[in-house]
Amino acid sequence: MTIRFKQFTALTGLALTDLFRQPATFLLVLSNIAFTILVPLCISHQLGQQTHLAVDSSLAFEFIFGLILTGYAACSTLYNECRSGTILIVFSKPISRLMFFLAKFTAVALLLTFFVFCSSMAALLAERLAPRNFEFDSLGVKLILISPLVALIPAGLINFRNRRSFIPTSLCFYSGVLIAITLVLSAFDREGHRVTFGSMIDWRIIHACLLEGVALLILAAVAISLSTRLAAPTTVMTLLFLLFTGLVSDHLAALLASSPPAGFAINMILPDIQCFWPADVLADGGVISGAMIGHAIVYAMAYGSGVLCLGYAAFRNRQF
Amino acid sequence: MMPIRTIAIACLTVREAVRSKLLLSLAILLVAGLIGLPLLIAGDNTLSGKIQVILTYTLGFATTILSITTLWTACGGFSKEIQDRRLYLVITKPLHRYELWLGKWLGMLTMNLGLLALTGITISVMAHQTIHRSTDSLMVKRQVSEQFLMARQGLQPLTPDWSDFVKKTTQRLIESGRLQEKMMPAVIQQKLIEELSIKRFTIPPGGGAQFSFKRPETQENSHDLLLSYKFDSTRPERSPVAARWTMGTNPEHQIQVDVTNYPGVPAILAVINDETAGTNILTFTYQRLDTNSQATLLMADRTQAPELLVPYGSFGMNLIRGLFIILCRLAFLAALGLMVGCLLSTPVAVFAAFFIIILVASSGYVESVATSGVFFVPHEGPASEQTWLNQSILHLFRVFHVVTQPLTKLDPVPLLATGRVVSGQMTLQALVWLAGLYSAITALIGITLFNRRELG
Amino acid sequence: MMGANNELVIEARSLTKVFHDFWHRPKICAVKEINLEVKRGEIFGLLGPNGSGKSTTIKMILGLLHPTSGHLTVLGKSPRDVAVKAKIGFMPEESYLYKYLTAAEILNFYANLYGLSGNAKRDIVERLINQVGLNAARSRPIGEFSKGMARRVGLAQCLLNDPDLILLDEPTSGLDPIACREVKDLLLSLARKGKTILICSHHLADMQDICDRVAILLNGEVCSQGTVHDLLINPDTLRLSLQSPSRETLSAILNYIEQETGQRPQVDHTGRTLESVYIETVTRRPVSL
Repeated sequence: MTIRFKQFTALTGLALTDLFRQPATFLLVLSNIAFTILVPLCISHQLGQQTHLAVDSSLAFEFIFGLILTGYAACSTLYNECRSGTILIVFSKPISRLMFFLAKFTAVALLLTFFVFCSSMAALLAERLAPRNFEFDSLGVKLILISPLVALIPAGLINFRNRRSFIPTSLCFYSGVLIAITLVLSAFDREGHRVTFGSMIDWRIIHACLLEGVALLILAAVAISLSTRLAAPTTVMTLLFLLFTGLVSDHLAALLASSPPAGFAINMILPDIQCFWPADVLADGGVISGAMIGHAIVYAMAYGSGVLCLGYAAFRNRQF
Repeated sequence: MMPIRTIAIACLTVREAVRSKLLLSLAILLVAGLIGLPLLIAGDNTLSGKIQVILTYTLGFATTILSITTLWTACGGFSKEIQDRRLYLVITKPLHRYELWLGKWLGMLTMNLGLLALTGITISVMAHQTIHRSTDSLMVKRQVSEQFLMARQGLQPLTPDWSDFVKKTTQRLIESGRLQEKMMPAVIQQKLIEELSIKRFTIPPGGGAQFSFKRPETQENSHDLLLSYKFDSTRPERSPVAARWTMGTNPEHQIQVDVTNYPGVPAILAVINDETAGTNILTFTYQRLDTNSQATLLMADRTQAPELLVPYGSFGMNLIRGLFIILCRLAFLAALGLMVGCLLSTPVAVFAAFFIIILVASSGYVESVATSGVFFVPHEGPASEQTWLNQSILHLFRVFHVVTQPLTKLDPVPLLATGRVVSGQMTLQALVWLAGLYSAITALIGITLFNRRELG
Repeated sequence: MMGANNELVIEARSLTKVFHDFWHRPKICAVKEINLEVKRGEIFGLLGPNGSGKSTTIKMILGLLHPTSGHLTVLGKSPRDVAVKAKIGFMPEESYLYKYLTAAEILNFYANLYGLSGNAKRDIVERLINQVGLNAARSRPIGEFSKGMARRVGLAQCLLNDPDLILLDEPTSGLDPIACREVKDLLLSLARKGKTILICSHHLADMQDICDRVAILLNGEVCSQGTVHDLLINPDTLRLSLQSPSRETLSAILNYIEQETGQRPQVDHTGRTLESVYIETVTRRPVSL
């Protein structure tokens, strides 16, 4: 058992390290943060809907960038390893295909967890930075504008002096900077006066981001299963297709109401992304309840397990 | 010697796409989307609605899919071969790097040409078949064919000559002392003309408006004319308005048609061409039949005044011109992808290329945002209070918007979807700007960078 | 020296290549001020352990890398001159070929890049496919080839243009002993025709067989350079070969030598190489030593 655990952590750790060093990971995570935070800084004349727009946009960006990151990460870690032949060396060791497959999925899931974490911080900040009464949060804006310098310059210096890889260092630093900014803005208001900690942040957004993160884990399971056979472009396109059809699955089912087997198949095959899209709840001032999150997690576990089983079935007898 | 090498590279590029099943998958995806989308999108269940769905969504879908795949494939064109080191055996042969670059670009253009041809044939067949198989009456089918399956040129109404009236009014105002002489008469006259334009397009209950069009002499007479119009209401209510269109000024030869339109909804009036034969100036009078003074005012948007759509050419040639413009756009995207692929690894190149595209597509929006104030400035602040940061961003994006305007404004899809002509001038502009100038500049940058790049 | 004359095909003077990191600091000095001269018609070997700079030198000769300093000419011109490449054939260490093309298609494609066309192209491609023994597999995609078969295609493509200078990186890697022998014979025949050949290889026995001159690189520097004969000969010892005499005669000879020189010589039987035994066994024909 200990040996198996060591093997599993070794495989997962290697895959995760490799993913964290990819330039695409760096670009996607930072772009998601940049787009999320830039939206409230660039909008105006929204008739009091600025915060609503900021939150909706951040959730949408999290979905899209998360989807692309998932597809790319899954193919980078599994498909490319099959194609380049390095998988042969792994399978010459006493490693079962199931362990290998699950380790890859775990690595992608952990990467997504990091992504969702950064995205959640960015979404909280976006909501806080959205202009109110046509006034910007000058403290927040200043902190956000200097955050890239504070995070990336030290990472660059470390790369220069110690020759450590720039990308994972900068990602870690940036996530730390985001946490620090969130803590500061939780304690001060727009004019820089001390307030009760947490009173200036809409913490419900974290629940929304968490729900979306669970949806992204479903897509990660699909991506890993697809990447046993398909390359990155096809995988990402398929994920996009699943996302959009998942969002309109009830409409499609209604269209196919005259043909029950087709409607049943639609409901079974397409993931019901709508139960992970919480923007409407937040817009009406509602709260995302624990029951809602629990229901979503159970659905994700069931759907994800089914997809992973199919993916493993495709991978189990694959010849290299 | 150069064409042989360039053509060899182009053939290899196409062959790779065929053998790796990329071309086949793309063709299947295109056809599935082109056929499936109109089935999924309900529309308003009228024949014209279905045709409009076919033309709008399918062309948009094809353009989007081909743009994404062209960009993605182009980014991987060099970067993957450099990564796999397959490029070593090619680059050590006696060919210049620009020949290699050109060959790949031509190969992608060839593939896109084939896929666009497939798109055009599919859309054309679907549109004709939809009309042919429809259970509507022959007259409805004919009207829809006339409206969408034809290239029509939009004529703007002739502007009345108000100069005499304006001069006399200005003189009268000065003589009556209501206008001081130091006020610039030219400015006052301009204001008067603006007032007259607004008044001309405002139709109160019981009122009317007249629009005259000058028909081109070369216009052929076998197809109907269409008058496209849309009147907006000055109030939120959307009750239908009864009116009468009268064509012609001679009471003995007038044609009258009663219509009921909803404010804000575009409408089309078909005019059978035989009835207009021999007349060069066509005059249409719109007369509201409702006289209730409490009813809403109707206004025609001055930028979207009633338009007379006259036949210009066939749907087939129009579609070909439109698809050619899309091909020019894809040529630029291929050049852009190859340029970034020369320097960067595949995923980073794809990211960089898409970032550039997003920047170009949003340049107009960013410019308008920068104009209204971005950082630290309330949106109603006057220009003098703008910070240096705001002004720098504003100037940067203004320049960017001007430079990238040809990339965004040359779009044939809205024209094709509404049966408007894709003019030869627009086609030529696309060829010169997109496939010519922008692609050449991108190619120059890409080849220069590629020449300097080491392949170790 | 087979067919060699004094005309220089490759000339490198103080050639240096330094790889830099992102901050443009020197990271690795792959090649340090090497001086190389390869004459027309000779087979020149570039030897050295892994990381000694052999592949970097080859890439600079091909114009794939730019020298940091020093002087390098190939056929009298800069390596980056496109016209020079019309006279060069290159076979890389790994067969970086297009997996979806067949052997015939690949050769046709590269022939097009050389500007060959029509019947001339067809004849050359046919001849080379037969020469490398791939006639039976000409219509299969390269992706289905074994490593050795792919290497043969790599060898064929570098001979398409009848080059004056042939650069080979590990040409016998992945080939069975008979194919190795055939490649070596081919290279020798090309050298006899006046072609200049530069080979990088770890197979010292193969290099000893065919090279006229070799250079040994270590840590980016040329440690030793000269003809194979001069490098291998040990002038301090002598070897005599004769038909095995009787025991008494042999003993008398040995005693005499010991008496005259004060040294008792070593005696053993001459042998054949493992390569010749293998080839003779597999082909069932004797191979001359």
